[in-house]
Amino acid sequence: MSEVTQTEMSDLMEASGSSECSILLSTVRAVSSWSRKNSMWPLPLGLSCCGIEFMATAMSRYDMARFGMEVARFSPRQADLLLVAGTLTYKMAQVMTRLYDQMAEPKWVISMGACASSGGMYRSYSVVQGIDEFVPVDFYISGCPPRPDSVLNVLMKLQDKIDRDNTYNLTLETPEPGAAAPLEEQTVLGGRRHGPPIALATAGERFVKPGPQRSMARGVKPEETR
Amino acid sequence: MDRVTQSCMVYTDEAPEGVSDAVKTALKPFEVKWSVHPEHPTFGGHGGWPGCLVSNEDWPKVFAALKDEANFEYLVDHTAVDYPDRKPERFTVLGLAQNLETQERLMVRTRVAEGGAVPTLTHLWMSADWAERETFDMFGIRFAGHPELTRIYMPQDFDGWPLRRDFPMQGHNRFRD
Amino acid sequence: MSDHETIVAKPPLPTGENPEFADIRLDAGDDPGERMVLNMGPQHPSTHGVLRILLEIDGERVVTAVPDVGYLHRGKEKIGESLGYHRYIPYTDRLDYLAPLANNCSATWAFEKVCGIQAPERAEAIRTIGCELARISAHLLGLGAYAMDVGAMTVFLYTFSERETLYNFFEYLTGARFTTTYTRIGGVSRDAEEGWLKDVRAFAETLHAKADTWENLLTNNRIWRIRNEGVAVITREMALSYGLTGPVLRASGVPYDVRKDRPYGFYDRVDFEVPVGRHGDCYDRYLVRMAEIRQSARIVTQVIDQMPDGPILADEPKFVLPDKQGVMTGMEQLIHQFMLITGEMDTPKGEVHSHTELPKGEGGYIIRSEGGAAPWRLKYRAPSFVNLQILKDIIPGNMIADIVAILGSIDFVMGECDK
Ligand code: SF4
Repeated sequence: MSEVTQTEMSDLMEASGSSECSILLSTVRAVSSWSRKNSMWPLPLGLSCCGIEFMATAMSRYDMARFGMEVARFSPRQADLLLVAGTLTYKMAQVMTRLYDQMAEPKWVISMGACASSGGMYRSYSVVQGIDEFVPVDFYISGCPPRPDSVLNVLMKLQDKIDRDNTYNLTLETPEPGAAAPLEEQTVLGGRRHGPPIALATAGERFVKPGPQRSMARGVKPEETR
Repeated sequence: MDRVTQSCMVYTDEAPEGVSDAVKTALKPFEVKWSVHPEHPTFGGHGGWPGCLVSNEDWPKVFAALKDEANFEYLVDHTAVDYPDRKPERFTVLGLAQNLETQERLMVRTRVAEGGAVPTLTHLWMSADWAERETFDMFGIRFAGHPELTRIYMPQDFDGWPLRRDFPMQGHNRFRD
Repeated sequence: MSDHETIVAKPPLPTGENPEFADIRLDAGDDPGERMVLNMGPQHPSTHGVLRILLEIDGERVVTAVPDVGYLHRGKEKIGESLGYHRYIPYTDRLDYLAPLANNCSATWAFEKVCGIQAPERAEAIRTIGCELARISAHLLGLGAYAMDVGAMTVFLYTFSERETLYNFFEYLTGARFTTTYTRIGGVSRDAEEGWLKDVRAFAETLHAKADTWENLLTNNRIWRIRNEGVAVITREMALSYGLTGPVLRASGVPYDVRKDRPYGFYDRVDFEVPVGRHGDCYDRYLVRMAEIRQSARIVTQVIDQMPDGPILADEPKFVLPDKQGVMTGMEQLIHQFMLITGEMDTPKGEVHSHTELPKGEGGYIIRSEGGAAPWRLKYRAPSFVNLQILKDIIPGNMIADIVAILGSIDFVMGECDK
């Protein structure tokens, strides 16, 4: 909750006339970022060897549960984070894009390992040379396979990013009764679109910058896609 | 590398050392040429198992004889080798069968031209099913009588035969429109 | 208990005897009923990678199952044919990525046959230890994943902490936790230190007690037994016809183990047993794997006791890379290494067949060499690929929930299956 500084907090406490303060002031964005970053539900797409190292990250010694990320969801509809761990082949690519499409906004993608990031050591006829040919990627993890430490490091980086991120669609407009939710038509790679923005609370103000999404991979502008 | 127009294997009529009598009698009715590894001892510390070359029609019969008479109850491996410059038969199809009791193994080979077909082994071993599909997928060799000869590794609409020597390592991605 | 609390009666089980449920059939028998097609995979929670199975189901019972592989086909054989022997070894790590060390060894044994050379005793002993440690680690993951899929999460935590210990050993020996790339044609890349051997020996000795813990969790666990006993029976004939190998074959009562039947490496000098099952069901496959873990520990202890001294690389400059220290400091060795890696290597012509016992079954290579530094044709026999074929025969007739148990008991790796 970076928005409320320590001084502000003590001012508040004084104002309320008691040292046992039970009110915290913050912005909706900060609260939602905070809750989002601490309850990431990953969809581990363990395609090959890197998937095993991902398991090691989740298991006894490295214990991803410390970051609120242990709830691996194998249904894309319940997941926030697509973690592609392993070599993506063209045959599998269709499946992966389908999973990505099914995930609800906001969603993030981590490409784990050399293979997922760039095809790695497989320069062959069947391997996709980097998953960013198909989905936008937030973080690339290097290594073949990356050690669990670097996976954890990137997960923490992702939390930072979510904390800082104010580009996701967050509108505080009161939807008109009966009106359909506004559909934000945002074309990204491959002609997919993002879902409707999330409507929160009912205050009559709007502090949203709908702005370009983080889905601008490899310099493809939204308008340029088919 | 220089162009290889012939396989390195040399064939003779004499069965090499180490082939058991059971196998010799089982293979008596067929025209069989035995292979000699040119620079490898056939048996012993290194090298391979004894092998032979049979004709296309004899291919399933040889395996049937091996299975019924010499007790080779186990098909270990199945694959093909490609020699693009060999005329007229470009491919050699290999099948390695094993007798579980004596641990004897025999590599049976047959040659087939591009577009030709080899009779299937699926009536003898269930394991021949996927093995032949794999060989088909990678080389485009057809197996006559196979119940479901479709691609197994590559997507069905893939075009090309990846393990042929003249197929490029990369740059053949015709998956996307 | 206050009087407005009542004990909720359990609803009666839906059997034919209850008139309320008279028209519910649990077993459709020959009646086709209403069938539907269910697509399982390639992305699914069962921890085994990208296998897809198409199921035709009648209620809860599976009528047909069609496994579909190839979602991880990376073209390893083609890569091997274009890169050459030395440069192919890193790729073997990623075949069966649960046991990279065993795959490294399997490949180098084959490549040494191609070159016609023999690794020194000490290298063979270290490889044998590596193979067995890899087998333990592969079976541990297989077991943990199997138990987790069937519903027992705890086992996975236990086996994974053991795997971490093994990873530490691998890291100390090879420099990498996971993708080891440890063996070289004609030997191994680094020597095993005395302290390492001592630690591994201590680990192998404690492994029996640890195996007892895991067995306590599962072997007589009622749920585990009900889920596994009598499920997916594979008879001897089926197993042979499908060409099964490894624990799956041995659980069906065939004592075929390459380590015993055609010994290679150090296996002819150690004493171990080949565990064999009697019924060929999922439970037997689990028991065989547990017994194999103990036997592997035995082998490791024995090899360490007989550890020979000597060099770790063969003295065959035509095929064997010079030792790394020399490459880093000497010009000649550097040029030598450069020549070998870039293809100045002339292997004898011929065809080589080399099969070894990998954790999943018999795996190995058929290599046709036409001279040069790269094989003309390199065929890897993937045990998982061959073993998976039987799914279409053993899944039908079982419940949907049993499929994960069956998959876990076959214990396959898609990296190896799809090559
Ligand atoms: S990056 Fe390395 S470890 Fe990861 S999937 Fe690729 S080959 Fe396997």
